[in-house]
Amino acid sequence: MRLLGGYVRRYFLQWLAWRSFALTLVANQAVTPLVGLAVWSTVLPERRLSDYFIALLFVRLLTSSYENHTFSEWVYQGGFCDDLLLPHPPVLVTLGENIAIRIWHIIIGLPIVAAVVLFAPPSLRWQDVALALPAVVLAAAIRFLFTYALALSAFWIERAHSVVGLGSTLIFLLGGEAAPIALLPDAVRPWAEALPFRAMLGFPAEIAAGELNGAAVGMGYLWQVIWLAVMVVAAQAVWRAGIRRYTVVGG
Amino acid sequence: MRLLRILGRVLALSVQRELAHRVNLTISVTMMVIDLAASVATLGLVFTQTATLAGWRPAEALALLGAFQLVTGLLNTFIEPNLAWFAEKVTGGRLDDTLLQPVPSFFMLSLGACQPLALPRVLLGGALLVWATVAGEGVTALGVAGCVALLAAGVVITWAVRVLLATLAFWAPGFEPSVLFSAFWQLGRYPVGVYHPVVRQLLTYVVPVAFVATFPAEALMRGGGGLGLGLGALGAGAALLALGAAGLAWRAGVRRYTGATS
Amino acid sequence: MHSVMVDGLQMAYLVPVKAEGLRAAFRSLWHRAYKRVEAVRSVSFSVAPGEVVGFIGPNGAGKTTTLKILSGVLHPTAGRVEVVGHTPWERRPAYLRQIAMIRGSRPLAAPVELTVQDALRFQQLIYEVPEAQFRRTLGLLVEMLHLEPLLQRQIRALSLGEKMRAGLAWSLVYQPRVLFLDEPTLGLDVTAAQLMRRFVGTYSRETGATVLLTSHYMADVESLCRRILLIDKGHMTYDGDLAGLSARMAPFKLLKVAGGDPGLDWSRFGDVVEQEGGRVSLRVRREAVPAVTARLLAEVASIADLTVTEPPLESVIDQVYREGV
Repeated sequence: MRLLGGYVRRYFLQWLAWRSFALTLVANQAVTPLVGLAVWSTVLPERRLSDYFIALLFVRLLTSSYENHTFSEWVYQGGFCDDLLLPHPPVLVTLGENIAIRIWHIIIGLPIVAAVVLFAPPSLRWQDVALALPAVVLAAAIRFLFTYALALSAFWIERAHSVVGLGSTLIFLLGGEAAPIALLPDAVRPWAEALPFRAMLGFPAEIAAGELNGAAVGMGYLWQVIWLAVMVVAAQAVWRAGIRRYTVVGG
Repeated sequence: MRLLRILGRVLALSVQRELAHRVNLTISVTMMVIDLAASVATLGLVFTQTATLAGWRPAEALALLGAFQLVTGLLNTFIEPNLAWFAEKVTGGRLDDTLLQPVPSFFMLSLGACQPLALPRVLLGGALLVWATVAGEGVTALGVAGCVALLAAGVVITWAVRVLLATLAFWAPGFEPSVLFSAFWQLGRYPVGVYHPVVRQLLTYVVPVAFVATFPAEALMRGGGGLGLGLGALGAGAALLALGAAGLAWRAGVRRYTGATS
Repeated sequence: MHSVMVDGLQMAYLVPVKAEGLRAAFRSLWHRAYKRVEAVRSVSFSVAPGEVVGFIGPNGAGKTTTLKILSGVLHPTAGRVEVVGHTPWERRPAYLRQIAMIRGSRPLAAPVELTVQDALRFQQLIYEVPEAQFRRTLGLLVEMLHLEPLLQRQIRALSLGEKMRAGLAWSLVYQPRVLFLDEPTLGLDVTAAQLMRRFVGTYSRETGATVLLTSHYMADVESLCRRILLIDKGHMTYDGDLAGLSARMAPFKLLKVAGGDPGLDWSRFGDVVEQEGGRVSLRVRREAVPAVTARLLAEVASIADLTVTEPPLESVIDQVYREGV
């Protein structure tokens, strides 16, 4: 844990130098929920979807993952073999940078959130927000593991960016960003509720916006826990296979 | 003329380079198709809940998406590879190399490199436009002409605005305008009418994404009765204005970089 | 008649002051401190066509800034510069076609995905070289630089030495009349550096091109430049040949003598720097060298060998950089 703190600190300082790049990332994270806010508020003004999309913006900033930029690039540039020499699991390095970037996202993103709140004052209830907080943490963990597992494809192919991009597209479509899950067509909705994409993004925002009743919240949390377990197992499996390949082929 | 030949050679060399990596090409095109399908699917979702989006019917919104994709493809092919992260090129000495060449630096730095992998998006966008034309009612020849003119104006405006933003690097090397640009650019996929009035003004006059998608699609789908002509004239005027401003800013920036004013 | 003329050159610019520590770094996001750097304070010289001139001086002396001004990338704060009849910073195409800037740190500034051949062809287009002339020049360059095996390779895949060779061809294929070389042998191995030096010498002799080069390797300067300009803290402190600088900085020569009787008192002839076996090194003032040599030969019967050498160049230059001229 101290080690992880050390890495978070180190990358936090390192990203201070790359703040304009961080700003790009945040701006691009923020823009899709805001477009969603604009579009869906135009389509269904009476449903007060602005609460949902503001919550979604916040969740997105807190769960952003760029292992394709950090980890995969590191593999491509050949720096990764240094990580293998470290006397602790190398994933700590990646996780440390992930957390540092998320902290920067919040710092940079707060003014954006504040501006949006000025334009479209939300009516969130604090009980709902409190209820959503554990879901945000779970979502952040699932999202990290998911992106990390996809980014590990760098051990096999040169285009890990595309693999992670594909994952992001699925999260966009089925995670509650293109449209709130409740508005998806009946044929798709049950799937979207169960798949991990909602657990990574839409679910916490739905709780915070007060759109779910008690049973639905419980069900969502259950799905999150299940997916967290699945992702842990999956990421570990991919990691082991990748390391075996890396140490044999030599990257 | 010579500049056109240089541009042609740049493109030919880049295409030649990319064809060597067939796997990358396949993956990029696949990703582009998926991305486009996701955009169309999102539009589909919107129209399951409503008949019109800010007054736009489905075929019209499709035309808008097509125009957006088409210009985005051109932007990513010819402009972004040069001007994204421009500040780094200024501090890293790449600018020096260009200043040493006997070709206008404005031209070489804003169009001297290209990324043909992004070109298929232009075709996909064009296909969407055709689809929308077939699906829409009352598309006239005048509308099509207005749309083409506006698309051309949109491309010029995009180029000019991108140059203007990049030249900021001469005055504030720590500031990277690619940030704002790429984010604002994403707003172009929907009619500017869905946004807050303030944002709408911004998108029309400051980061003129409206000229890239909203106006061409409007001209195409509702271009009868002079609307196309009016919009076309507006676009041409805006394009000239933006280009002039970009040229002036570039010259001032290079003067500053070389120390001519200090 | 001159190829390069520089008169009263001055260049000053503002650089942001980097803050130390996290808090200061945050503060610098809003308030940037600048300080004025006088890179070049007073530099005047002129170079005749076909001359090869070396620019030497410690790091940060203003050498690269001067080269950048001469190549038109920077506009000086004050002073007059004329290179082949042009004012460089007007950057007229007619001027830019006559000069080449070659940097050892980045010898080939073309996209790394291109092959050498494609990069050269692109230069032909940019510099408007007629086809016949292009073929002729390229043929010569390929031969002199042994480029044949490199032409179809990607620039990315070249080693530094190969990159430098390809970069020379890339920069010279339009036959510039003035060459600015900034640390051309940086990082090259002995063989590549020698090839580079020989090539630049031959090229200048055969085409009459004027060459200005900066280098920290005295071997470059020694083998190429009859004339050197020493620049220090933005001032020009010496203009002349290397031997002259050496004479000024080190008013002594070394007399190395082999032979002589074991018990001989050498200090009668000069300061004994080293004495080992039958060999002795004596430090003698330059002007006294003929007389001392004559005395040695007359008074010491058993001399087997006698040589007069300059003190090592590197140590002279080190002294110049540390103490000035």
